[in-house]
Amino acid sequence: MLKFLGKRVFQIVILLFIYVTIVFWLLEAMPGSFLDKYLMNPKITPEIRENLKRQFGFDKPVFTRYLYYMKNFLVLDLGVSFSYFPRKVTSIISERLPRTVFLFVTSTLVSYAFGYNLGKRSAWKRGKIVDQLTTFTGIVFWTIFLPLLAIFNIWLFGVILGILPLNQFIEPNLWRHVSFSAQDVFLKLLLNAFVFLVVFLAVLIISKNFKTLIAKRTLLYSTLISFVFVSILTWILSGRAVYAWDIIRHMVLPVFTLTLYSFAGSMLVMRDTMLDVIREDYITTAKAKGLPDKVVRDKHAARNALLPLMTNFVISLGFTIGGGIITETMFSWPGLGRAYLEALSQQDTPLLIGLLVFTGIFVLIAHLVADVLYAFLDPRIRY
Amino acid sequence: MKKVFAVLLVFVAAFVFAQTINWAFLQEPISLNIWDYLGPNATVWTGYVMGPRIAGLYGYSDVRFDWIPSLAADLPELAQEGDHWVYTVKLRTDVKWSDGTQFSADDVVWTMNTVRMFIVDYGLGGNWAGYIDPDYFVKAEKVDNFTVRIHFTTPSLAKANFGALMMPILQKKYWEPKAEAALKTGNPLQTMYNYDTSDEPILGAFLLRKWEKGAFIEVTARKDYYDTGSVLSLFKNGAVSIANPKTGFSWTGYGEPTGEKQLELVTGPYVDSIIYRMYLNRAAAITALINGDVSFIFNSLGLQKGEADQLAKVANVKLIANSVNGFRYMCFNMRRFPMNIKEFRQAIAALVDREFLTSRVLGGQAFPQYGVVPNGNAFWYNPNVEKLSPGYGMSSGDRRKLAIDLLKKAGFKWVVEPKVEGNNVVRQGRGLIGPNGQRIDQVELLAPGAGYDPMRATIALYIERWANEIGIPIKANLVDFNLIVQKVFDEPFNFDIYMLGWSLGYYPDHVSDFFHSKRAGVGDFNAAGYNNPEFDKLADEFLATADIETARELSFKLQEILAEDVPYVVIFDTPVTEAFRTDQVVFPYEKTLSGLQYVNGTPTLVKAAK
Repeated sequence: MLKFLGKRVFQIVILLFIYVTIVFWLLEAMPGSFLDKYLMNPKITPEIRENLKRQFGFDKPVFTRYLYYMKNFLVLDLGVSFSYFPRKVTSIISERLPRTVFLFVTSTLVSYAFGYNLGKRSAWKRGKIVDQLTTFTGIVFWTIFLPLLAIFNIWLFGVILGILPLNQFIEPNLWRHVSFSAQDVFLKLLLNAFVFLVVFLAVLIISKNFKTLIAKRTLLYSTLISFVFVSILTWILSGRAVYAWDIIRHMVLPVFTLTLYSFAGSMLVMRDTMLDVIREDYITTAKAKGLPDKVVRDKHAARNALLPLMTNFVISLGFTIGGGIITETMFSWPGLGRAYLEALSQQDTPLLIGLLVFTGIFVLIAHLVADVLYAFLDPRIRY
Repeated sequence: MKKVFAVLLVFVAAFVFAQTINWAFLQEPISLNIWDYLGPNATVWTGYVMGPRIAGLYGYSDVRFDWIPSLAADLPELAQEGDHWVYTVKLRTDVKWSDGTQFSADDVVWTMNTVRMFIVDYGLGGNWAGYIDPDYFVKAEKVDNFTVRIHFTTPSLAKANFGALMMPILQKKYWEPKAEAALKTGNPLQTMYNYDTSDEPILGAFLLRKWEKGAFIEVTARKDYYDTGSVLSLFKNGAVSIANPKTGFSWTGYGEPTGEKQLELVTGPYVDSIIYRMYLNRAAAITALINGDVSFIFNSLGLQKGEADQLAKVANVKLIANSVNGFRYMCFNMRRFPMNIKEFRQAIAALVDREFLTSRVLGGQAFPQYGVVPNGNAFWYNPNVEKLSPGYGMSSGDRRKLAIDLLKKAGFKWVVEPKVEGNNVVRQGRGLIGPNGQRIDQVELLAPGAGYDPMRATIALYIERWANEIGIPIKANLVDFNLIVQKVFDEPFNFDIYMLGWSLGYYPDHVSDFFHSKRAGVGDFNAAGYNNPEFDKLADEFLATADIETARELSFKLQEILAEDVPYVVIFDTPVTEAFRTDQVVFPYEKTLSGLQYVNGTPTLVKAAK
């Protein structure tokens, strides 16, 4: 296993360098440059433009710039953004990352949980009305034009029903008098979610040692309810509960929209794998033993059908780092996806490369995690 | 106890009756550091927030854009002293910075000299260079606490009055130690751009209260703003008067302030704070306006037709349309044959039926433009330019005949000569041959694609068709905007004809920037390669004059020469349509060049609706 891991990490490093090189040269091949915006200002004489070229490093040949970039990349310096000059690319990424991670990890979790549940149920009821309805609905939403779905949801829930905030990630009137920033609250929410995840996994492992189902469930649910209660209490006592709630409230509509849009992907993967699994002999045996349907479906079939979905899920988590241009734009949620768009439209090469590299690293790591998870989830796989 | 209660009551009342207005932005400002804003990061969004924070010695009046004193007490006095031309400016004595410090000549002198030093020694660029041109600006010096002398190499409206004398003045006490510290670092400019300036004392009316990145910026009105209560009167006879009964400051200029008033404005601010909310797409901002979350949308491109139609049906939302200070145009590369032949350019100009294009093809969504000074810029626009445009007021048939005649006059021939009857081309021209006997195979017209600007893309195709009908082999290539920019400005004039657009400043020195022969180098702004000694001489005089009436006369002449020589065919522009909620805000006026956002939404004049 260690040998496999070492080999994969080495491959990832090589791949990353090839990836950065391709990204750099692709962006260089684009016509025009960031400085072209100064061409539209007659007050900027060619001499001043030459000065600006020097400031942004455009006076050097492109190959020299590439070498500089790679040298800086080796020490994890992604350079200085052009469009946010002279801010460092890493500072822009760290500002936007919490917003993107919080929104997209939540929606990915919700979407996969929803897809997993619907997929196993529709496969179990294959050909029945439940199967047809979920498949049809899922495919309709999966093929819909995302901006249209976003606008429809904003219009329905924000304008007509008026139950959800229209846009943005906070309500300015609530936040204008406070001394802390939304970024602080985002980071604390992320920390809260991370601790929740650790506690959940720990309880799950501990509960395996319990013999009865009731004992396992009691431990799991009581711990989780206690954790949620303590979390809420901590937020209330810190005086920031209302602000955390404001962010969560603003997140409902984008998460709902993203879940509607993407749950069909995980649902169909789960459904197809389940259909294969339920034809297996051990499922027939389990049924013949007189086990309840729910137990056969959830414990015998669904667990074995989970493998491809898990792989998809882990790789999707890697991609969540990149955010989503459309979602972030439609819901005025300025995260990394929006930063991509801005960097591209401004030809801010350092920021664009930085974002692509940052996302690339996470996707490659996610691939590695998926490979390792395979070995854990399926004992037949050996590296 | 009573005192405590009274204070509490005042506080509660202030809180309850505090008036806050919400405005929508489609992009977030990048930095509120003025060095960065006027340096490499000059975005219009930053400008909307920075505008109400800064002040210069002189500014523009509302609506008419008269050049009037702002921090200065009077118009400057100009005198020649040796090699220099010296502008002596008296400063207002009633102006205080937001930290209570008295505004003085030290601030003006430090700002001007420091900006010049950063430009000359460190290459400070961006809009700072539009204020201080080191070829003209020499130095500023203090005479006394409220008088400065500003030295120039030559007198110039462009470089002095509409340049250095309008630059934002920074507080010496705040910035001097910062600049000194920056000069000791390896990269002084980056250090200046990086300073956190949230505590910077300002002269403007609105202080930064909070910037929640990605969500909103809130600015609050200064209670001690020096100009509050000041009355600006614009008289129909052209005179302007400013009177501040609170501080006793008064000024009149441009004639006797008598007769009917065109406009009278009393400076506020009338609102306690403004929240600029960030919406990252137009639909979201429009929905917010409909919902009443915001009362006005900032968008330099204006509303599109569908959006305006949607908002027209919403109660309490008012639409306003204003002409813009810019134009979209076609430029000939006069270094190449046959674009170097005047009649060839005139013939193409004659074919371009602006009225037909704007009213029929673009469905009234654009208005025709004729000259290099937009007709919305009323003071500087020469109305005779329209009539000088080849083909003006003619039918399509007459335009074609005129184009053919112009080509014949210059010695052009055809293998198959075009024939026009009425408005129709009954025989299409083929095989155009130049006066030198050289066959013209193709002339490329580069225009932005429909994805970038469907209007220009459509017009380019019409021009191609009209030209081809009479045998001019124009081929419209709809390409990426950046590719046009690269071919025109980066490569050595690698184009025949291109189509782009300009947004302009109020003072029309761009006429010299675009067409003076000394600006015809690679990457400079005379992309046409226009070279006319008569024009150059007048342009130099225009830049050098210190008298506004003389400048206007010269500007008119320059426009007429260009209308005759046609290095550009100025075609059209679109009005800027804006929307605001009448139940939330009241603007002091609605008709103004380039719309209310061009004046930052009149923050010191806008009132909350009752």
